[in-house]
Amino acid sequence: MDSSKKTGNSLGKTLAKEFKRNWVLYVMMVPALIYFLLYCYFPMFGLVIAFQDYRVGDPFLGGKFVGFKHFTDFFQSYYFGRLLKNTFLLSMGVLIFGYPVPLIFALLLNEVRHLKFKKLAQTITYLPHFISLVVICGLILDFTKMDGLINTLIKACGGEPIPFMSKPEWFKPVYIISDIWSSFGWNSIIFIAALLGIDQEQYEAASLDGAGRLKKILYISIPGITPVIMTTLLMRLGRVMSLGFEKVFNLYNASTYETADIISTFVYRQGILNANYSSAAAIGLFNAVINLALVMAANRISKKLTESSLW
Amino acid sequence: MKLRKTVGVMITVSMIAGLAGCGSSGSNGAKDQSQAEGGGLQDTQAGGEFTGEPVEASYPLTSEKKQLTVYAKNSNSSVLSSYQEIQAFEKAAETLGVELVWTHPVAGSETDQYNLMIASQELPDIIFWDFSSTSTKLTGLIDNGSAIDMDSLIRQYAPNYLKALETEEEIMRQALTDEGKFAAMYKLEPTPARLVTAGPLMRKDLLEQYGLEVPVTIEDWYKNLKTFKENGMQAPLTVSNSEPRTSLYFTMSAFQTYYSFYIDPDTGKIAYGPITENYREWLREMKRWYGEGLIDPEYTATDRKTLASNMTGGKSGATMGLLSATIGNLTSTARTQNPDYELVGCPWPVKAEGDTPYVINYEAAVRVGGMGAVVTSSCQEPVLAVQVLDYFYSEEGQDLLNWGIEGVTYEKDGSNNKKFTDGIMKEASGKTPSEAIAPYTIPALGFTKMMDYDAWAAINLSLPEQFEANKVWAEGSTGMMLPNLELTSEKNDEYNKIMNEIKTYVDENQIKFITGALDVDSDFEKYVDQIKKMKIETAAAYMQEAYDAYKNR
Repeated sequence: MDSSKKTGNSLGKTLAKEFKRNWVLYVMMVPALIYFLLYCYFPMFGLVIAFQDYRVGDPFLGGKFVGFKHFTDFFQSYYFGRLLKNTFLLSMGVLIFGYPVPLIFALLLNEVRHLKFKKLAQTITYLPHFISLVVICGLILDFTKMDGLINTLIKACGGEPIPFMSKPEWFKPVYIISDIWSSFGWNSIIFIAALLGIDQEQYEAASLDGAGRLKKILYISIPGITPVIMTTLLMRLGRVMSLGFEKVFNLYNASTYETADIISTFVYRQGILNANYSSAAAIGLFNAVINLALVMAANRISKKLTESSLW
Repeated sequence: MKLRKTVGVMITVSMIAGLAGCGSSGSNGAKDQSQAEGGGLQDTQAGGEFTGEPVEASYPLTSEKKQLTVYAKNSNSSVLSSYQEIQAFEKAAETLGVELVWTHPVAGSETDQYNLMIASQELPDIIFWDFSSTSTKLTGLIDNGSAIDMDSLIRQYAPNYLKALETEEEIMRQALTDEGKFAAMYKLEPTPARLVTAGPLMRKDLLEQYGLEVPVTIEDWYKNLKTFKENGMQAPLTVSNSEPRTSLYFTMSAFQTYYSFYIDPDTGKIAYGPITENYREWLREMKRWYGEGLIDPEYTATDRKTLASNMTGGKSGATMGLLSATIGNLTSTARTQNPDYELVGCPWPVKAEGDTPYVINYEAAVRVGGMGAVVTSSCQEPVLAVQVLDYFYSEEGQDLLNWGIEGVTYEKDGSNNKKFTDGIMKEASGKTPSEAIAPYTIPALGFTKMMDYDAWAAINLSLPEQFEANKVWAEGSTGMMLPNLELTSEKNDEYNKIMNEIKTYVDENQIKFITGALDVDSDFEKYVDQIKKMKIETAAAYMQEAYDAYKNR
């Protein structure tokens, strides 16, 4: 092991050796690299329009530079506080109420010994994931109508029907509950996979020591998949402010803007519908910066608390 | 070590997700518009030199076959997959020697796709669009170089278009820009009644059943709806606010107010409806209706489909609707169950009998300029493009696009009166006239032509009640409605910015006032102040300026 004597030359040699040994892996990486370069890094140059008064037809870098005008306009906008609040609350709601569900589901499913039932349960819970989001939203709208499924049930129980989609206070619950329903099966896959990777001997040893099921879950299963839990949680945290646009867009209307309008729907209305590309780019950039800050903070906290982190 | 493995798994998963995402976005952006570059590009017909003298075209326009690409909305996407299938355009191509190659945006996301097309600068030869509904307007399209300055081309190579404009002073005025130029070749509306395509509707069979009259005043409306309610109707008035033409706004006629900028009939000046006392009165009345359960409690979330089921299923008995999409479709659906089902077009409500009813419909005064065609900077043969478009304003072109093909779709009698054939009007296969005419021509759809009221009415107003409704609605005054006004690109940008903020605010608060979440008496001043803070006065000044310039054209 003479790796301690690293000079420029030997580093190149090490790299070459490394590449020779693992070249298959590097080749496998290429499509992902191309994807990220093409769709994530290359478009970043376009961010320059956030600092310009860009109009369609202007050449690249040719627009009038206005500095941070679009940012300050957004911060001073009547809607700024509300957009920030809605985006944050809605996605924190999904995270807090939605994150534990697939985890618990995976732990429970892991205890099921009946293989057929296990498969069936998995298949059924995955299903909503494969339905187009637009169709899911259509279903939600139909269920929550005055004469829809939910209100029919409410009426059958003697309650007063509620016009869910016209009441601002109901938007967030409807959004979060339906989100959990449509995604927990799919999100549990990664936990189920991680659970399978735990050494079965540990469970056997624990049984010999007299541990019950609950103890085994608490002391073997959960610690065994903590890295996965932390990593997925970090990645979710990093996306807190980039809440999916499609679902809100398909569910909201003017009477629920107050609680439903989020940054991405606002960007859509600004950028695509009203063609204010500069202002939309500025808001989008602001959003991305917050996301980055969040993921970095979460990473640091995780490093301190659990010693597992992304970098 | 374990963590690194996990990260590896995560990256793989996200890679798969990424690829899947890539696949879907790829299919989304599948607009491989075959940019047909019209044949031989060198020889421009008719010299091409600008002499200022109008040039009558001789057909065919070119000796060799050429193609021009056109981007337009497919306004009949339920029946036609593309305008390419329309025989009138095939026939025109034979006459002209130039074929139009159509590209349509996907139905439902036209605004997005249009904006993206302009942003990507992958332009066709000709764009036919409702520029007034776009955020940059036509001025923006010319300023950014997408559309060429057509003024001199039109003056020289569009004699038929110029002749059509000269039929009426108002039409000529609306076709010109503030500088007195021709910027596009528009769809022209010689008959004002054709523009009043939406208005208040009630179930006539129910009115008769309960011994009620067709409502005239706003109080009549209230009484009728109340009677409906007392007879067990769940939500007597159903509307869908996603579209102003199917919304609650028809009742604004009685209060002489509007949901946006309008011409105040008392002063003749531009006013912004939602901050006026009249609007406050309107809110009060709507709140009363809502409070008594006369308006569907879900009206803010209602879409067209729900509206249709409310109106046919007996949940509601009144709405604001469109001639063909509402009266036509609902009646034919409902009559399969209830042969007595009939809708009646009601006059625009007034406060007291004898008051002027006002048409509440943003299109009503737009005689020209709603839709128009421009030649883009990508077009290699602008002269040819203008000549092709001009052909459709000639008598022959008019007949082709309004009536179709002589002997097949229409017949002329001795005094040159045209009539659609029985094959169209009474097609045996059970098609409606508008379905039957679709493969031949576009009497009800816009293009560079003069809309022919008779042809449109024959096809679109096949039920007698549709014809009556159009007549009743068109009796209202269009005095409150604005024509298309023009702003410079800078002012338009600022106007958009101001109005985007205000519009959301107004929409939200309108609902709050009506449903009672805010109090019309105590909260209205605060609401007006907020709108003023959002600089409504700047936007209003721009509109006033533009309106003055319009009057001076």
